[in-house]
Amino acid sequence: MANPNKKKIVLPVAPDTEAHGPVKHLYSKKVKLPYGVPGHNLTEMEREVSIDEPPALPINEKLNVLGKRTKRVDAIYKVTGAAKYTADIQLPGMLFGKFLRSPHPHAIIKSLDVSAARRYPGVRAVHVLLMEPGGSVERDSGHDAPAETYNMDQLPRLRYVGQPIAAVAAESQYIANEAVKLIKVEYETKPFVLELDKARKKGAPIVFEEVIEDGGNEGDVGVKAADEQKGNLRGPTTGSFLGGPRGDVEKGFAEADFVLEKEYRTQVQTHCCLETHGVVADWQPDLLTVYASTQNTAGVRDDLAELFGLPKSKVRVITEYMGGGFGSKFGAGHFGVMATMLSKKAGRPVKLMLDREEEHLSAGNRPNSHQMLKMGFRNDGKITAIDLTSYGTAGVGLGAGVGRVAQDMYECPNFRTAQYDVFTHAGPGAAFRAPGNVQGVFALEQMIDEAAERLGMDPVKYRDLIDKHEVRKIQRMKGAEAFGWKYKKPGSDPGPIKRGFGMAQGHWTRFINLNSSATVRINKDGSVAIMSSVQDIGTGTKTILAQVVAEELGLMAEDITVKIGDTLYPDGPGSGGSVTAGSITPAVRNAAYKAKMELLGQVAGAWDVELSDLDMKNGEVFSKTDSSKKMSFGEATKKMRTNQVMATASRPDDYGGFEIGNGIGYGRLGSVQFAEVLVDTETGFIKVERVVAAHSCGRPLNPLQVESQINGGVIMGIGYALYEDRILDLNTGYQVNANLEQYKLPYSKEIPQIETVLIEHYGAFSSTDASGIGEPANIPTAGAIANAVYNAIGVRLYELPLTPQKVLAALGVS
Amino acid sequence: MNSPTHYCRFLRGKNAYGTVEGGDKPFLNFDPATTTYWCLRTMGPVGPDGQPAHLSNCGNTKRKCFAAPEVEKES
Repeated sequence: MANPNKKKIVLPVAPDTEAHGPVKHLYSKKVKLPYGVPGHNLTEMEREVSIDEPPALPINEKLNVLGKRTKRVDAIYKVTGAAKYTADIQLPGMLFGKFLRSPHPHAIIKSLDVSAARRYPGVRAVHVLLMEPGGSVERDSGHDAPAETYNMDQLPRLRYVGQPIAAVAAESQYIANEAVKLIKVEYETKPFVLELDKARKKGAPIVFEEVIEDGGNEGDVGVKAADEQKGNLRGPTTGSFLGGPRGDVEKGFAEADFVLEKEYRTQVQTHCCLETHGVVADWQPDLLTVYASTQNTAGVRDDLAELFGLPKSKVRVITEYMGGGFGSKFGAGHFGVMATMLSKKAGRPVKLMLDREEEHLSAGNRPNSHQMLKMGFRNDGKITAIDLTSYGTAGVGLGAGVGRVAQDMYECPNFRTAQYDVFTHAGPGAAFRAPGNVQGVFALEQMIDEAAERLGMDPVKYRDLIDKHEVRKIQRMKGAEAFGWKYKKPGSDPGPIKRGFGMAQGHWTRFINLNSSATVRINKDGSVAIMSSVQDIGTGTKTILAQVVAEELGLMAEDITVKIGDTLYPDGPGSGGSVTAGSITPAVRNAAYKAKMELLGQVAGAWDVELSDLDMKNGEVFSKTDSSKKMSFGEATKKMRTNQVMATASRPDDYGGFEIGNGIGYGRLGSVQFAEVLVDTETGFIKVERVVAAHSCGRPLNPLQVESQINGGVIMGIGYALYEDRILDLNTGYQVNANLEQYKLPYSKEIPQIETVLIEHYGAFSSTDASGIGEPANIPTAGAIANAVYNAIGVRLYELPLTPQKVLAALGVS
Repeated sequence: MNSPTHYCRFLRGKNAYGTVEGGDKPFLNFDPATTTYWCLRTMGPVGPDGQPAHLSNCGNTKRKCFAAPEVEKES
């Protein structure tokens, strides 16, 4: 739970303490909360909290609704097709948009003429992206004289295939698709570079020729950004919120009994959201309404309000159902801004959904990496030094680092890292489920296994020795037990098909978004509703919110109406970084508690009893001291003076405060996964037979949904380990597999038996004590599979994906 | 209004914590190595002047596309 290196690192300045400061309470109280892992070290922790906080919840086994395997409240709508995703939205008079995108990886647009497209029957608006201040908003707001032609000074330099240039809106998708082809463009192509290694070399085509630097670049947590750029190389970044270098790495290597030094490579992975990125934008004089496939409704609203100069109250963003984002669906996006622009021009709603090819080319990706990892070990197993250098490309974007697992997962007094970005002429990267950490674990966890073998130790036992994370220790124990872990000598199976066992573990910071609010409304007819802009991105947020309120009010989850994903309601958090459950559920519980107290107060008045004498459970309101005084929840609400009682609450600070600033909580989310593989040494084919995934996410609010999330994380990890790989044509810059046929995801026959071991862990952090699971579920999978493949064949693979070709090459089979 | 910063109000970033915005909000630069940046005006990782959108570039008042923070438009 504790950071093993905490005493040895210098934490940066707290983020926004000066701006916001910790919340002060006029009145506080002390509560005792469950703390630890039931069956292992469960005890109580006393916390001083605001007087407004609800009573402590006991552990799950003592609850009625929370912690129970509960079917999704919206499952029926999903399986019957009644659920409306953004792509399903149809509005009266709606137009359809289509982008013109760059066909070249590097080019200048010498001229552009939209006149033919504008004249095409059925076209209602055309918009061209202009590279000048205010370029993405309309300068000719009256549309009196829309420009037909543009010159090269106004137009963007094209730096990747798929870069948006312009778009049209038309009466049908077919018309839009045809019309966009009529935009005449004269390109002057330029030299380009696509490969990480070549882009680093002297003389490589330069992606950004001139960079303007400035002063203060430390943000508000005091972390220095990587601002040095030479050619296409930018960086290095040497620190993060966990601090910078520590100790003396060279001294640490000198003290080591042996040193391991290896290079690892990971590929570019695209998000492959089954629902592509897109919006339906409806610009009306009094309100801009945007139906968005987004992980952050409030963020899209804020972006559009900022860009179009609108008050936030005049922008409404709705995400009722959403089909996957994995980090790539934050912000309005180029499609969101373009659809809004086209709607404003046409005076009609515009739907602009990316197609699958556009999704691959321009909607983000997990950057690749080339990692050089060097670690020193003593013969007693202790790690004396870690030195990690990485290069990665997020195409024309930045953020290709490899995370903080090497810095933070194991105790080591001497650490340094240098993480470089390399620009290439390829589509920009985007946050992707545990950014950096998935790449980092692939390297780190293989090296830990190598060290264990060198030490003659079982990999699980070796991690028990060097990993001080208490919950992960339990995960290893329980996971190994479920897996039937028994160390097997690498490559020892006879015959061509060899079985292997491997494991790896992960580490994720517990982030909390304090801008998380919700309203709970109890109506006189006994119905109850939750309202927040927080969105359910497919993880089951609607269901856990219903469970939280049901538990508080003594009802069942199906009794609660969940109205979320709409910025008309109080702001909820964006859903990324595994923040949602830990951020919004305490706000919802606290709002439910306030509304409950209001209702009970009115009942207490009617019965002439003390408020503290009343409670709710099993659909009843009752006196705790007089068994004659009870009534159903519905009867109680009929006694309300008004038609409803409502309460709104926001996420309070963590009980006990934050480790860093206002949002980085104490306690890391650990994860451990075990994999069993079969490797055919004649064909190189790898089959993952079984995965046991041991995880914790604080209080599991709905184990059924947690398991579902873990299944998804493991499947995504298998795709990353074995199949997925964005392949660019080195002659044209095109992605040759920009589809879901040649870009292979795991399908049913590649999905193994997945067994989940869920550790219930209480940290006494909030009124629900829940945390997220999205990131932890995905971090260790590829590392575990790589270690299992080594165990099967006795030869280690250092580059993802682990293809048959690489297996055969490693085995020396031609 | 929060304490003003000098980052362009059209700068956006996404890191493990969530979305961070330029302008008058604190810019939470938790981990620059894994943070992606983009410019709201161009809808991409490049500003209107063709330079990368990044924390170290977008606080530069000399940059012709720099837009100073404004008070939030809440009504």
